[in-house]
Amino acid sequence: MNAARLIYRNITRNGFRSGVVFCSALLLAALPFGVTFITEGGRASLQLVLDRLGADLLIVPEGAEMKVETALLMGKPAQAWMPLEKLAEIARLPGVARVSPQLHLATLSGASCCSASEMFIVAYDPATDFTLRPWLDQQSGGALGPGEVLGGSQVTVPNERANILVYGSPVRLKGNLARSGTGLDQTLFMTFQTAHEIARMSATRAEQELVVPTNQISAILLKLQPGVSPRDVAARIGREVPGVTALQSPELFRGTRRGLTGLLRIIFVVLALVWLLSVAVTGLIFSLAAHERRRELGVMRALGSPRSVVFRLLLAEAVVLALAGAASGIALCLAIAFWFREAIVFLLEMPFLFPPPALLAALIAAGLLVALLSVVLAAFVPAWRISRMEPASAMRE
Amino acid sequence: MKVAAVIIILLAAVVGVVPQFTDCQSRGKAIELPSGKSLPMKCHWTARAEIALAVPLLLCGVSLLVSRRKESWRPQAVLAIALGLFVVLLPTVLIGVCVKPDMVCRALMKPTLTLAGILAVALGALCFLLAGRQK
Repeated sequence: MNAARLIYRNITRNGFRSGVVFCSALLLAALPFGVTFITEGGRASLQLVLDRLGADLLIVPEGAEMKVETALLMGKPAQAWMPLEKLAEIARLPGVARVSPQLHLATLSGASCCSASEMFIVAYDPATDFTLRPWLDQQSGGALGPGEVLGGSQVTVPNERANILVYGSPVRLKGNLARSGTGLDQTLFMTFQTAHEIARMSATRAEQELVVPTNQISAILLKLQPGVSPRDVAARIGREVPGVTALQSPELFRGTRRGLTGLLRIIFVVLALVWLLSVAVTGLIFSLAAHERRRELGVMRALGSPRSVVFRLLLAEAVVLALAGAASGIALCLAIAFWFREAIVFLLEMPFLFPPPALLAALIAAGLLVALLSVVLAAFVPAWRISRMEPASAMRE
Repeated sequence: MKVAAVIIILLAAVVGVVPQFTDCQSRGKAIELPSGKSLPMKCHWTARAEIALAVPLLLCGVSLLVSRRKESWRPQAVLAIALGLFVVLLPTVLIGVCVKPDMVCRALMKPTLTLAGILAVALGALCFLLAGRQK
């Protein structure tokens, strides 16, 4: 009988013992992997939204900071207005390279004149836009024309229709942005011209008129000249342009990021306790197993197996169970994260995107390593002690 | 075998119960017709149909748990595999769920049923293999 077969027989012979060690390894790998995976997924998603925003500063009406952040992150429609003159005031400030206005609108709730209920709509000015244009060129081959829209990754044309209906006006879905793992995946992007046309026609076509206040905008995206500090310009806007708040890109979604870090800290305390408990249970199981098998191992020693072989045999069993349990735990975490990713984003209201492949590989390797080291650590002392026993005393006791 | 049978029973409970509380009807959402009437969305019919799969899956699990005749394990395992497949097919292909990703049926019901169905198939396959080995 070779070593692999011996290990296999030892593992399958006592299903309960192996099952407990397997489950401990599964927990040891799945819990830290799952938590880190979800929080890193959240960070990856936030970073993608910030990259896609492409602006150094986001100017919103005073007091609407949270509403706009939630709208950008969760796609929950938010309407806030500020006078169009603010655009010119901000554009005149030193250090400002480009400014572009946006309108934030929403479809009606449960109305037959809108294909999707309460969908967040972002209207932009194609003449000044510098954030959506690169995505438009990349994803849908050029600027949006009248009546054309760009959707988030989850926006689709209803089966029974050729177009999406917005306030009774059909609009053509020209393309979809890549998945961001946030509510932006359900957002509709269109030009000012299309938005104003829909608003004009909504008086006769929609159950409720879409009102876009004259000479009002919802947000301003701002690009700075190279070398200019966003902090300085934000402070200057705060001093010189009343009624608006300047949000620096890196500061956006700070609340969500702080929440993720806080969650990670709390869960790691729980994880530390689970880790201690799992290692203790695994150690106990291996102690009992080693004690139960002392005669068998004594016979092996008496037949000429050196101590190192007995020691390695016990550790190899631990390694096999640890790797099998850890791999199953990580696979289960990945499956749950994959299938429940929409529940994470929309029901838990937490941004989530699968982390980049390199980070994912590192997390998987770390998960396997944690479980492997923990189980081997737990099995080390019992394996060492039983391999040190004299064959005669091991068989006699 | 007994452990697998108990897990199949638990999965049957999940398949039967979870959809009843995660369809759009349970959240008061329905299709409003121009006539003013409201119709249940398709996720509601998926939830109903899952009951028809949960009951035989539950009986299959109980039967695997109590049966001492090894000859009966294989057909029951095959039945568990078939039922698990249909548990997955109902919300994905045969009936479906609502389209919007923020709807509870799409975010919770569909992935729960997919996961439960795949686990039922895997456990059925495991029982099938064990039945072959323990003859």
